[in-house]
Amino acid sequence: MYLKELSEISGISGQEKDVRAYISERIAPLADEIWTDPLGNLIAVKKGRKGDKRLLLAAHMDEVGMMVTRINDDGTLSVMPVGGLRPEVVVGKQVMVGDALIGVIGFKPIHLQKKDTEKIEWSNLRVYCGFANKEEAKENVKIGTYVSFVTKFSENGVFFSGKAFDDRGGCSVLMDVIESIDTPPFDTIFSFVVQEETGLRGSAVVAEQVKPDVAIVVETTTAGDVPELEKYRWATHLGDGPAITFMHRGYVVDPRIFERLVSLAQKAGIPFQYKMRTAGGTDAARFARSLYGVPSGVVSIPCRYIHSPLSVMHRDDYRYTAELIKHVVETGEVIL
Amino acid sequence: MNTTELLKFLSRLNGPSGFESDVIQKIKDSIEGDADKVEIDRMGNLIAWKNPGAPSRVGIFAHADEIGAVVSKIEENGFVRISPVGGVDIRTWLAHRVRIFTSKGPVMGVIGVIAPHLTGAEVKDHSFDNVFVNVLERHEDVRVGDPVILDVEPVEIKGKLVSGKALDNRAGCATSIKALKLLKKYVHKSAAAFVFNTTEEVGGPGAQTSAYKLNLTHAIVVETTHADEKTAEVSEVTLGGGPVIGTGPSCDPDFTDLAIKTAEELKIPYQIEALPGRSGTDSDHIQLVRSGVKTLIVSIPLKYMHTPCEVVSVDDVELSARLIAEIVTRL
Amino acid sequence: MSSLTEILKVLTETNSTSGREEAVRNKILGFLSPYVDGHRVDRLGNLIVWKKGRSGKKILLDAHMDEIGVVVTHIDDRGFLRIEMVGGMDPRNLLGSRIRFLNEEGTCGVVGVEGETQEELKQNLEKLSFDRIYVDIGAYSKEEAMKRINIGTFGVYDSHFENFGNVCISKAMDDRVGCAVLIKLFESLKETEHSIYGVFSVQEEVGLVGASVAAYEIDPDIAIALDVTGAFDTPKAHKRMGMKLGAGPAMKVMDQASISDRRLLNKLVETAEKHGIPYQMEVLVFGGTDAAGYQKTKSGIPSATVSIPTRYIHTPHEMVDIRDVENTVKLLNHFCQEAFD
Repeated sequence: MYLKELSEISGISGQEKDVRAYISERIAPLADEIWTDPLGNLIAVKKGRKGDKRLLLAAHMDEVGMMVTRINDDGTLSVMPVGGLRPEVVVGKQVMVGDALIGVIGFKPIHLQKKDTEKIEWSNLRVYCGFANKEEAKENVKIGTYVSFVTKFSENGVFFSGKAFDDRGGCSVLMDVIESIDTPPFDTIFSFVVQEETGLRGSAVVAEQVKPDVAIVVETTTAGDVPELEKYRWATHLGDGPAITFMHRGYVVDPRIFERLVSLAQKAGIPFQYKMRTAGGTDAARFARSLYGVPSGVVSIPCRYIHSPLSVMHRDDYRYTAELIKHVVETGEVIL
Repeated sequence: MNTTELLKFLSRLNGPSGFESDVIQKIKDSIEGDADKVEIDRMGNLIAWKNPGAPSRVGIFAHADEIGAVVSKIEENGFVRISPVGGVDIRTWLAHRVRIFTSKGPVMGVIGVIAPHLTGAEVKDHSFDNVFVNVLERHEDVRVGDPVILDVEPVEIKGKLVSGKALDNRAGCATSIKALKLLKKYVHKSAAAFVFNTTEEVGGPGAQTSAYKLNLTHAIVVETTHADEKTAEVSEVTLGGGPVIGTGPSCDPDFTDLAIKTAEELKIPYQIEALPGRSGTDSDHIQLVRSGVKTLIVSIPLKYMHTPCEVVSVDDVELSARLIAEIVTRL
Repeated sequence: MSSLTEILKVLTETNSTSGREEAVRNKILGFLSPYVDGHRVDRLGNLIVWKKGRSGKKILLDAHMDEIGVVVTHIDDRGFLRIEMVGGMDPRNLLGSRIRFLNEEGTCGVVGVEGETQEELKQNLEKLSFDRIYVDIGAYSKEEAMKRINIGTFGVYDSHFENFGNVCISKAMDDRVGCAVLIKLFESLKETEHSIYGVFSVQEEVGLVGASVAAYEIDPDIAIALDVTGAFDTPKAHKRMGMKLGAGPAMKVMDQASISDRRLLNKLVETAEKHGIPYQMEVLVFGGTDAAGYQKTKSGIPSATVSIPTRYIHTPHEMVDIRDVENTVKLLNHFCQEAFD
């Protein structure tokens, strides 16, 4: 499992190079072919025993974060989100500006706030890096610099906590699988894609390069098992294994693939749950719209508080997801 | 034609998304001698080639369409209702003349505003649901689906600025045309396809389908961007401050670096614009064509975007044209 | 040969949401197979049929097979279900109507609204959302409910077909009426100059999935989507649009997803005028059709939409005028012969 290391690397959409380098270095010796495409997707092929069908697995390398849009007269930086990030979760955090510059996102002290006037919104937030004025800031920071979270990974009891589990969890699962399998029945393509969070972008060019018959997206998805949400709004919960999706935004999962994933888990005695909300999309929606149409399925690790600097995952859910995906590859049963 | 004249010429052309054929034809006529090969593809995009046949292929995209409206319902007594094509703030169109392009030629109409004497104290915010066009002539020729375009004559301000409609993205088209003309004098290895594409303002198929057909390795998207705005949502960009180079997920980092290095080497002033999510330009689509295209966004600073009085600087256009031509030679 | 109303009744009463199109695909194929040269079902489930012509030109005609619906997302301890929408379904249309599920027993469910006080019920009704409604299938426990239905089971409006005078009413006219047009068209096509491809696409209602890929291997010269459009000839209907029931097929100029190719649109208008077929022009200020998918395929396919004016779209009671449907068949029949003249 590489979740700790992967989660601590910064890799906001469009800036995935360090994540890619980390993964590439470890899996290159295990792949029959490996390349990085013009968008930055990392694609590794493991040849199968039969050459006639191709299974595509995908996990996205990018995470949500921020980008510097302006340098202000007082030397602070204005930022806007990259991907679906709410301003509430970044207030009071330490952040990394670019590769090496530490900053903080402060806020007006409670003593000085006037009622209802200090709304937490992007245009009111500033990153402070200690610059005295605009000139000093301009010497050190460029417009367009990425600003990322710096949360360290932690394991406590059965839980992992950290940043960027969405979808370094999926990346780590794919790395585990490529490490632990022998020759699979079908050519299996492990793709680590860029820019999922900014609109399923990297995945849009993958099918063209590998002409798959079926795609399985390995995601990290939202879990809602907290006291403030009624049970029917949870989507997924921790501790009962991978979530299998029947439908999400923009795509109804191919019923044959959905059913085969369910029966694979059942036969192997791997616990699983259904994803019980249809909101949110995954790269499966892109694969279905690629080329001649690639029928796709989705398996996800449930995870609380995604799209924030601190999310929580259950170690069994991770383990069972990795087992299920390994099983998917080894049996080839999702190939239609 | 000098740059000011070119900008005015292009601003006067009428071509909302989906109705670009006249604009495309007129641009084609104006560049005919400058390219090695000129064609209009089946989606209506104009493609002007320099050095076709070279193995590395760069597309230079400027969208030729503009925002506008269409007639969506015919009312009695020469009035019609209209609906937007692209992002139109109809409040900026009030008390303007418009031309409706019917199958029997253009007719004049006005977007009238009811006098305060009749509306009383209660003034409704204007929207497409309560605005109408008063057709002044041949209203029997007007049909549902006819395009509607503002009648605005471009003007020169202070000798160095041009104001008018449709400068988003005719300023980009002017830049592309200038770059094409400059390239005549330069030697370059790669094949360069200057694309004047359709349907950008409605997220249509124009740019992405031509990018597919051209099978590109690189693409430069020539656009306009907000100038002199103060909000944190957009980067600080100054009118007259030189070409704006975009940076973010929809731009290739190496290609962007090449653009910056080229500008620095030639001492062309430039500005950087952060594009954290989608860029809102055709780059978002071109980047995802086939196995992926390396994209660069170069924008002309523009004030009052999507209003009848957009403003651009002649210097920005000329500097951007030079920058783009120089970048093409370095590929 | 079945009549148009018979075909419409069968197709609209077949229950097939987005992603669950097998049932309606089989019905369509049953009607069509004698009249086409061949057919195939592609990887996503699109049904593609064809009649080969001599000219080498290819015309693609599309109607989507799927209909909007709901899907079960949760079953609670007392056997009540929670659902979410499949495609653009307004939960208000579910109050007072029934849901028919696509499981083996064809479970029937009724919809209730949460509200622990009268005030809360009133509020929930005013701002009705899928989070505030549940489905009652008459089960008294989770176990009982789970024996009959599962999470991930899809459902549709429980509604039936009616025909009186010139109008037909049913659920799923959107877009089974387009499918019926295509069936009648292939029936009526004799020897064709150009190759005609019919695509019955999947998952239009969740975002044009089928139409984004259906033309990939066909490479047609042009594509026409057939779909419903709003008819606003009712009391105090939308101010900015004037499409009418019974006034002929609507030639779509634009909607929120695509602008029809001008040359193609002009050709369609010319064809209607030449053959004395009534028609109307259409600008739809919301919505989209499969034409947007075809336009963006590869190097682009010049595309347009021909619409059947329909009242009460996406309710259990979509209303069309049978004369509009017949005139659409006529128009396309001529168009298929004359498209490239």
